Amino acid sequence: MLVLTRKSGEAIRIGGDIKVVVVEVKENHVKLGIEAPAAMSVHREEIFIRIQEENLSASTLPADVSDTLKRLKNK
Amino acid sequence: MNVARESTQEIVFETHRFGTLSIMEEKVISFAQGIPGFKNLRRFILIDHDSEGLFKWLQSIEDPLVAFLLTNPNVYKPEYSVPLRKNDLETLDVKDMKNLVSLVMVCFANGKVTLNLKGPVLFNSENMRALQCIIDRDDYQSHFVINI
Repeated sequence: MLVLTRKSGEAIRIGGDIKVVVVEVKENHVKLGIEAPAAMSVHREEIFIRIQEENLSASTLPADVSDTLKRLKNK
Repeated sequence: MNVARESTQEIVFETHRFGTLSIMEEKVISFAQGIPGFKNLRRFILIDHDSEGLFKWLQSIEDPLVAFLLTNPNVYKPEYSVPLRKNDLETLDVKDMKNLVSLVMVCFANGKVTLNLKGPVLFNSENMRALQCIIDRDDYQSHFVINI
């Protein structure tokens, strides 16, 4: 992993069109500002991981559950 | 005849749930950003599950095994609405909000059927672009239990 030291107000660039600015540093909190193209999604990691896990779980929906939902709605 | 064939291309692919499917290219939904956990999959199709169309399968064209059951969240939580971000609207190239459809994934956990209200899927029916939003709000649960 590349490690860079930055002060408050300083930034890094990733490729040509992503900019990460250190907005504020306070005790053990760092506030970051991110400029990225619209097509690129930016999320807090723990939320991204949770959605990933939810998606994996959704992709293994048991067939009897989907069958039950279908029967209910076809009535 | 030839002209019609050139303008609408048919694609054939395998699926685990539905066997071999053959659909027109214009029915393909594209997730330019992928779906978290399935980042290599970009092309999907929606298939009705029940006769009322309340549940739909989002089936991957690229992986026969990957399909998500989706439903309209407002049937179960009427006040639910996706907070739309400018970036998402740009990604989907939304010209008319009427063409925007949001559906949520159905899960089964601990013996209950749940909806993931934190990760709705947005579709722009005008251009078949779609993305999964991530909503960071405590009142929208990722395991919203529905009674069926």
